[in-house]
Amino acid sequence: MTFLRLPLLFACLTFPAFAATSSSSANLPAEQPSPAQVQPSSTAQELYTAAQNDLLQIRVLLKNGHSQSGVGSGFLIGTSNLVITNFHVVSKMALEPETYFGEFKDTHGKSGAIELLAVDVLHDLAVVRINRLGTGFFKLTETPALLNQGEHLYSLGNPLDLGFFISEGTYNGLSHRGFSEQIMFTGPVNPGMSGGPNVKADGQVAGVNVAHRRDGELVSFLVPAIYAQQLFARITPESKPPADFKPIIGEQLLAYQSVMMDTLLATPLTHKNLGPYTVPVRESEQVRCWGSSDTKGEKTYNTDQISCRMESAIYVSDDLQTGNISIHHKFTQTDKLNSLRFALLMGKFFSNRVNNDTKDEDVTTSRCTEEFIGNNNFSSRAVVCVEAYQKFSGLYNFLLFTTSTDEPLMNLQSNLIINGTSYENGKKFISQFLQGLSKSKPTAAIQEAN
Amino acid sequence: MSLFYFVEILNHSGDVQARHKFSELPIRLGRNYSNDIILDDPHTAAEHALIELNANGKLHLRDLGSQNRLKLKGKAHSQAELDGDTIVQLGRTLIRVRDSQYIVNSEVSDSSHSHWQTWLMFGCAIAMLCALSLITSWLGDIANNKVSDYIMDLIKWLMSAAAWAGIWALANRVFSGNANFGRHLFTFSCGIVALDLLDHIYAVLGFAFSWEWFSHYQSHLQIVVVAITIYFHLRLINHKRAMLKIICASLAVLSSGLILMNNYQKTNQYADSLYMNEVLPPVVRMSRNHSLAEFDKSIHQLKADIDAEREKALKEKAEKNTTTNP
Repeated sequence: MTFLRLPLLFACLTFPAFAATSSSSANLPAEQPSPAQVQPSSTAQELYTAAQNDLLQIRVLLKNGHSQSGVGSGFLIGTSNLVITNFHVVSKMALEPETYFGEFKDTHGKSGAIELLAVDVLHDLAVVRINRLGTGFFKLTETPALLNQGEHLYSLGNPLDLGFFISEGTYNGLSHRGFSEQIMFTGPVNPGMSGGPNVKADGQVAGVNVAHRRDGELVSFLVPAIYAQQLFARITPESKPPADFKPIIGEQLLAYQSVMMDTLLATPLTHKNLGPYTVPVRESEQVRCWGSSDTKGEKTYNTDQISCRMESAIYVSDDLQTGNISIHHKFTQTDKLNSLRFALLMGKFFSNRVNNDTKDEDVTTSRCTEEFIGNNNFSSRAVVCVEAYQKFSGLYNFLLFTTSTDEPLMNLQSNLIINGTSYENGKKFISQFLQGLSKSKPTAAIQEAN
Repeated sequence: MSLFYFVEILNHSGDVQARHKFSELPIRLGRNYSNDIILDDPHTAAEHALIELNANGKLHLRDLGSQNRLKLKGKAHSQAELDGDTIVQLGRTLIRVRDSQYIVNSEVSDSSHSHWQTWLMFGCAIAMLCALSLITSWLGDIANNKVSDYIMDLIKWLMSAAAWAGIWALANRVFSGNANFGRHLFTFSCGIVALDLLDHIYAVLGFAFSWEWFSHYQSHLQIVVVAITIYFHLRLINHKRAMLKIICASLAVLSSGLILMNNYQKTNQYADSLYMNEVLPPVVRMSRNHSLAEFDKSIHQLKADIDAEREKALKEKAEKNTTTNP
């Protein structure tokens, strides 16, 4: 089972630009209410008519060749010249300003330059400045909009670069799967609508379109408007764009990981049993665990697995999603293989755990340390590999994997991945995790003692 | 006793291509049909050289004013004394002259090439390959394979061995006349058994004593084994052992160097692997278990390494940027 919260931008990037430009012009007139139809206008129609002047498409283009490399949506706040969008829409501008620049396009087809002023990586928000003022339709209030489950909400944006859309859906409470809450919205939010506004029927901004679940139907997520308001409030008319966003993003990631790791380590890890072994897992609102078992008759061994992962990650760039952990335990036992053949099979399971084929732009190559360790009647071979983030100082990816070395016909292999943490926190989690691995005394010995 | 003179035309490997017998001197060599030996070589003169006795009564080759003259070990001469082992180059033709009093080498014992020994080697090779194939299949058999799977594996092994030995035998046949298939097969089998044993030795030493650096650099000893195997293959074809040793050793050093370079480019480290992935049964364990505190300490020490790695990466990137954007 895969649960992926994929950023909307992902699909935009692969969307062919030529198809988009040809169809957007054709679709635009269809959005206008036809004068021939004398029907009472729906809420959606009214909202779109009122909002269209402040609704924008945000495009990120390559400086070299001016071809678009990503598209999203955005909206002008009040009567200012500031636009709220998603960080993931403009992340290339923040990380590689020497290669990318941005521009906006409004519902009338006019375009202009954008200037990135502030980012909030954790909530996936960004503020950009344009050379035009809003009409005052979208307002951010200091108190969050009151929402009732089932209430109608409307998402606006430019999905798949086809043209400006308004889509209707319902509010379904808050999701706490990530370390920052998100609004669950049951309505279509397609790639390209990222950064677009989501409003109540009375026009109050409820949130910002951010993601949808690929494995579900119409399960979409919004960043609550309050975070947009907080980011917006930090900007004054004199605010200048920072020269380099990387240290700012790095600080935000560091702050995030400290909250994340504190939460994850606040309570002792939960323990589960796999054969004679006790293994640590972290089960919480943010980390979900799933179990599976493989006892097919034709195999010479049986496996039981527990795997836990966070369903959310912080988007930094297409190649770098960070700030998450995953835990995996695999218990294997055999009654058909002898100990040598079983051990060689376990060696195969234990190999190729570290990808060292390519040098990465985002992280350094791995450095590992390995040892036979013994603790709690449990002995294992443990390997820890660390990668450092090149663009952000003080952030690391940790990978711990162990294989038990105390039973000839049973084996426990555990895997812990921590992405985007400080060195201290990574080390602390690994240490707690290893503490949690143990083996019960053989039952025969206990009986003898009795 | 009448003396005969033999003029031998050699190929470039030193084997006799044609032998001419004469009972009297001088012997004329050249392209003209008036010569005693007619050379079909456009690089020789019509009247190229003359074999006669010199003042000391020794056989002697004299140039008759040709353009390319006589060459001894690559150097041009106008005359050359012939002691029976001297090889003289006329144009591109190699000749050697011997008289009937020439003392030949003593008889070489035939034991090393005896029929039964070849068959013994062949049999040993097949036995080794079969054993290795069956052991490998058995060790890797995790799905209760049927007998037919073992046989299929065996056939694959034997076919590959035959292909490898066949190529060497072909080369052997081309360059020295004798295929020596059984010996090549034997050499290959020994090599492959050694490689496999080496793998297990690595695994056992690494796992038993926690000598992980063994498995980090195992490709280099494997190269040594491959180089030795190739040396024994080559030795069957060509007998210049010293030269072959140098060639094989330098090839091994070159491959090792390439592997080190490749590893460094990929991971900034010279090791083949970042960690030891071999697992063996618990009874093999000899080294002690470390405590969590000790492991924690080594994780702590890793920080300096990884931070240095980051510094290096940033420096490399900065250098790259300055070179691309002057």
